[in-house]
Amino acid sequence: MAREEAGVGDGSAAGAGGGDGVVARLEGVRRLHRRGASEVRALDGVDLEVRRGEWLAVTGPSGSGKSTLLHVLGLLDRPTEGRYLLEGRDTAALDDAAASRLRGRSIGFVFQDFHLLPEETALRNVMLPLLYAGARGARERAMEALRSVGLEGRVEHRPGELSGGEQQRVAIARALVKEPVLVLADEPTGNLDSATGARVLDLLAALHARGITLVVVTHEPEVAARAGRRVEVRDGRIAAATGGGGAARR
Amino acid sequence: MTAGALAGLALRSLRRRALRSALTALTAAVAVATVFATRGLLRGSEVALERDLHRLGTRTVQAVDGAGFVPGSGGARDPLGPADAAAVREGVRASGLGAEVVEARVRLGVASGPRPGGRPLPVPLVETVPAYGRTFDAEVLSGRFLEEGDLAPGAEPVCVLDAETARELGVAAAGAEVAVREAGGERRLRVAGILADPFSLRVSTFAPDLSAAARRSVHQLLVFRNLYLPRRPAAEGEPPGSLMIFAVARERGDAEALHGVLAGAVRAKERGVLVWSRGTWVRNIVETAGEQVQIANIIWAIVLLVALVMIATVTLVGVRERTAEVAVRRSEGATRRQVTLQLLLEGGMLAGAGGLLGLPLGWAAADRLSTLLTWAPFLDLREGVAAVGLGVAVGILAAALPARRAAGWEVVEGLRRGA
Ligand SMILES: Nc1ncnc2c1ncn2[C@@H]1O[C@H](COP(=O)(O)OP(=O)(O)OP(=O)(O)O)[C@@H](O)[C@H]1O
Ligand SMILES: [Mg+2]
Repeated sequence: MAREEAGVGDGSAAGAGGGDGVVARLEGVRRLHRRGASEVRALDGVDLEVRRGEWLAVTGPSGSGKSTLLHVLGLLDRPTEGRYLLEGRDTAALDDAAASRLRGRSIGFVFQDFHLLPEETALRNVMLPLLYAGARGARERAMEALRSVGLEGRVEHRPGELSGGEQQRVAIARALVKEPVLVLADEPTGNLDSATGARVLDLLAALHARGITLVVVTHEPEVAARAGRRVEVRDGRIAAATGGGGAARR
Repeated sequence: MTAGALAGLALRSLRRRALRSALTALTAAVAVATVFATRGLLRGSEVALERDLHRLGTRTVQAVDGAGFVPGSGGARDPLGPADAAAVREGVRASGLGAEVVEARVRLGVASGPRPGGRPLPVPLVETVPAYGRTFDAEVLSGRFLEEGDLAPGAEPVCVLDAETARELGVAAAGAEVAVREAGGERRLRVAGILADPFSLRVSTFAPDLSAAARRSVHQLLVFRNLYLPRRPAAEGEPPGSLMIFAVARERGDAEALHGVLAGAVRAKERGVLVWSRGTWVRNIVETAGEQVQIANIIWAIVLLVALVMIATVTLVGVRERTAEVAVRRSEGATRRQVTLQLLLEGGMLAGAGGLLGLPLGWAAADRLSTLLTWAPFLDLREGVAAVGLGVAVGILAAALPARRAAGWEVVEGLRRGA
C-alpha cells in the first residue's frame, strides 16, 4: 500500500506522450449500456482532444452523454469501444489500482451535487485524496487548499452545516489539493444561485490561471462562455465545436 | 497509504455508526465469551480428570491374570504364582530401575457390617502388604492403611475398606467390626481404616460432569469397593485367588521401561497374562474423555458460526447504505483493494473490541457455571488470546462478502445513485 507510482505529468511516460500539448485524447470512443435487448449509446463514437492548459466547456441537451464523457475522461468509467489516451498512455492498459491512483493524484472532480462524505468535516474531506495517495503533510496541505477557497473558518464543519456554495468550494479544494493535471467539473454551478455560482466559477478560473486543464460540463451559456473552447454533445457524439481556434476532430 | 492510515479510516467509520458498531461488537463479545467459557470449563474438566487419574498411580505397572481385574473373571490357564513374583523381582533388580515390587492376592468374599438388616455384600478381598498403598494415591478418610504390625503372627485381625464398601456396610469410621465369609469360614475383623474414593471430585452421580463417561469406565475396570487384608500364608482349603504383581517406578517416566521388564519376567504374551501400565491407560482414558469434549467443541463452533452469519448480515446491510461513500472514496483515489481492506479491518476491529469485552464476560459466566459443576474452570491467558483471535477471524470473515461486494461496485453507479 505504500507503493508509490508516478502520477500523470511527473513521469517520463507523461512527457513522451504529452509533448504534443494534448492531455487527453479520445478516439472513436463508444460507451454502450445494454439492458436486455435494448442498447443505450451514451457515447457513440467520440473523438476529442483536451489540450494542456485549456478550459473546455462541454454543452448539450440532457441525456446527450456529457456526464458519461466526463466519467470516461476521469477514469471513472471505461469506454466500451475506442481508445482513450491520457498523457499519451493508453488507459486500457491501466488496471484498477493504477487508474485509482491516477484519479487520486492527478484528476480533480467537481460535481453538481458535490459528492462530499457527509459525516466527515470539510478538512477530512479535503484530506481524503492525500490519505489514499499516502502523501505527507495531508492536514497542512488540506488547510492550505481550504484557505485558498476562502473556507479557513469552516474546516471543522460537516457538509450538512455548510451552504451549497461552501460545499462546492470544499469540493474544489479537494480537487486542487491534489495539484491535478486535469480538473473535471460536471454542472459545478447547477445547484447554486447565480451569485454563488459566479464565485465558484471564479475559483475554477483561478485554477485555470494556475495552468490546470479544465473540462466543465454545463448547460448554462454564461458558464460555457467563460471557457476558451466549447464542444457540443448530441446523441453521444461531438456535434459542434467553437472557439479555441481548432475544432475537435471528427 | 499506510496500514495505520487505513485503520484510522476504519475506526472513524465505525465510530460514525456507533450504535450498530456496538451491537455488532456485542455479538462478537457473546461469541468470544461462549468460546472462552466453554473451553475453560472443558479444560477444567480435563485437568480435574487427569489429576484424579494420576492418583490411581501412573508410576505403577501391574501384571494380572487374563483380561479381568475382578478375581474369577480372569481366563489365564497358567495363573500367576509366587515364582512369577520372584522372576519380576529379579527382572526389576537386573534392569536397575529401582522399582518396588508388591504382590496382592485377590479372592472374592462376602462381608457384612454393623448396618442393621444390611444384606451381606460380595467384595473382592485384597490380601496384601502395607507397600500396596504406594501403588496408587488414595487418601485415607479415617484410620490408617495396613501396617507391618498387622502382618505379624498373632496380630489382631484388621481390614481397610474403600469408602463405598464402608458406606454399604454401614461403617462410619475406623474401629467398627465387620464379618467376612469365604470358603474357609467366617472371620471377624476390626476396621483399621477407610480410603477415600480417588475420584474425590465425584461429589454426586448426578452432578454434571463432562468427563463422567471416562470416570465410569475407570470404575468398571477398577472396583473401588475392595476390602484390604494383611497378607498371610494361605490356610488349608482356602481358594488360592489370583495373584497380582505390582511394580512402582521411582519416576513416572520409568513406567514404560518397567512395563517391558514385567512383561518379560512373566512371559505375558505366551501365557495370556495382562501387563498394563496405568500411565498409558490413563492417557487412553483422558483421550476418550477428549472425544466427549468434541461435543462441547461443536457447541461453541456453532455459536461462532451463528455470530459469523449475524455479523455478515448486518455488515452486508450496512455496506449497501454506503454505495455513495464508497464511490466518493474510489473517485478520490481509493483502490478496490483499499476499499476491501478498510471493510475487513472494520470487521476485524469490531470483533476484536467485542472479543476483549467477551473475555471478562466469559470469565464471569464460567465462574457462575462452575458453582453448579463438580470442577473448576481452567481459564488461562492463552485460551483468552485464542478466543479473541477466533472472534477477530469471524469478524474479518463476516466482512469478506460485503467487502467483496463493495469493492466490486462501479464508481459511476455509486455516484449516480447517491447524492
Ligand atoms: N448505467 C446506465 N445504464 C443505462 N443507461 C445509462 C446508464 N448511464 C447513463 N445512461 C444513459 O446514457 C445517456 C447519457 O447519460 P449522461 O448522464 O451522460 O447524460 P448527460 O448528458 O449528462 O445528461 P444530463 O444533462 O441530464 O446530466 C442517457 O440516455 C442515460 O440514460
Ligand atoms: Mg449529466
